Amino acid sequence: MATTTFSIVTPEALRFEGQAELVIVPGSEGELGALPRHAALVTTLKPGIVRANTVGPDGKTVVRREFAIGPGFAQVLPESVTVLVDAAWEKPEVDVESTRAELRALRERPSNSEAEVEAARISEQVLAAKLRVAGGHE
Amino acid sequence: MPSVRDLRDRIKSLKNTQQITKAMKQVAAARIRRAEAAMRAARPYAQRMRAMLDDLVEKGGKIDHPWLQPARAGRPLGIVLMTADKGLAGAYNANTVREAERFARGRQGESIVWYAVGQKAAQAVRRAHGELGANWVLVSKERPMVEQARLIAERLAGDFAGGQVGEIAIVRPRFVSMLTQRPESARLIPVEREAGGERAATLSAVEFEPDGVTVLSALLPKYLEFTIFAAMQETLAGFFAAQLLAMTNATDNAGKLIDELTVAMNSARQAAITKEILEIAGGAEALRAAGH
Repeated sequence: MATTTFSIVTPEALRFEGQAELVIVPGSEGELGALPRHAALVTTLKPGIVRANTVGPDGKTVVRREFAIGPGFAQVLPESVTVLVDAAWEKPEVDVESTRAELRALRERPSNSEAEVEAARISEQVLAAKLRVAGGHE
Repeated sequence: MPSVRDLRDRIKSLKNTQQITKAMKQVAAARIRRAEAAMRAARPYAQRMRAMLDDLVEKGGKIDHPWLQPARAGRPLGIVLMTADKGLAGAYNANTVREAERFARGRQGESIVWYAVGQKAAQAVRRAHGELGANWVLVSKERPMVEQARLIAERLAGDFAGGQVGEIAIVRPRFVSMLTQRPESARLIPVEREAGGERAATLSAVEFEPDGVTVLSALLPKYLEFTIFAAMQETLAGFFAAQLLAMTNATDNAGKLIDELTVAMNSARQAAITKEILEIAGGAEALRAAGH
């Protein structure tokens, strides 16, 4: 099967780069699945989960990988999918208890302005995505 | 000629200094590895973000944004001067400050708003110009560097949007190698188009979601934020490299001086002993001559 080069990059690291059969990103206009030879596209991303069916070095084994992400961007080209985000977490990187505590604290904190409400909404979505990736959502 | 005791005191104080410079050298050597690794880890992001931005600017067609317009004449020029927070790194900070002054002189006649990142930059601007648009430390105890960069970018974007400045430039040190760091100036806003968009030529059309303007409006502030973040990382890595070199030289120089002073002290001591023996011998001779 044809593959596309999938990479997920944060300012602190190249988190993943490899071949994938399918990449699904949480586009601001809804989930967006990219197969190889997808038309060129640039989209903003909302907090959520990036899923990729990555192909191992033998070209056969397919490994499903999931990353919780904050807001960012994705660039889809016929031969590649690039996800640019501030931060990304895979399951082992999420501490379920502390993430839950953070989420509770966030929900109790009052917001004083529209900007604060918006920032809190985004943080909440990021935390929820982290919990979902870790399988610890309520 | 200094006395043996004077020389011994100077050697002692030099040894203390040498111990401090040696400790600082070791600290710099330990930190540079992490700082340099962090700097390298940010490169893939830089390349990809630039590629995305070029695609947008080239293929977005008519999408427009104030940051892509030519600089607004008649408004002050904002200069971000970035240095380390601390000194004891040779001419590292001073060179960057000098480059900023040179850059400012090249824009004579324009009023300038100074922004300082790093305590040394803030001190230099205050000394030379008195006032400062805003300043931040390079390494904050309260927040990670990414967030510090975001705060700086937000302030700069706000000042540009509010018309306090019509153009923003940055002067900061470039990490060329462990031995060489060179100050460099570049424009931050308006964002300059990079020459030679080879990848753009291979694509006929690019779709944008939700639309070009929205994507660009989100991407440009991110680009600014990241450019500042990368510059901060580079400034920190360069600082440790410069400090490592400065402290290595200081330790070596102290060692050389200690050697020289030790030789001087030994010959002074020897001279004193010789003199004493001569006196004793002279005395004995005098007594013998007196007929005892």
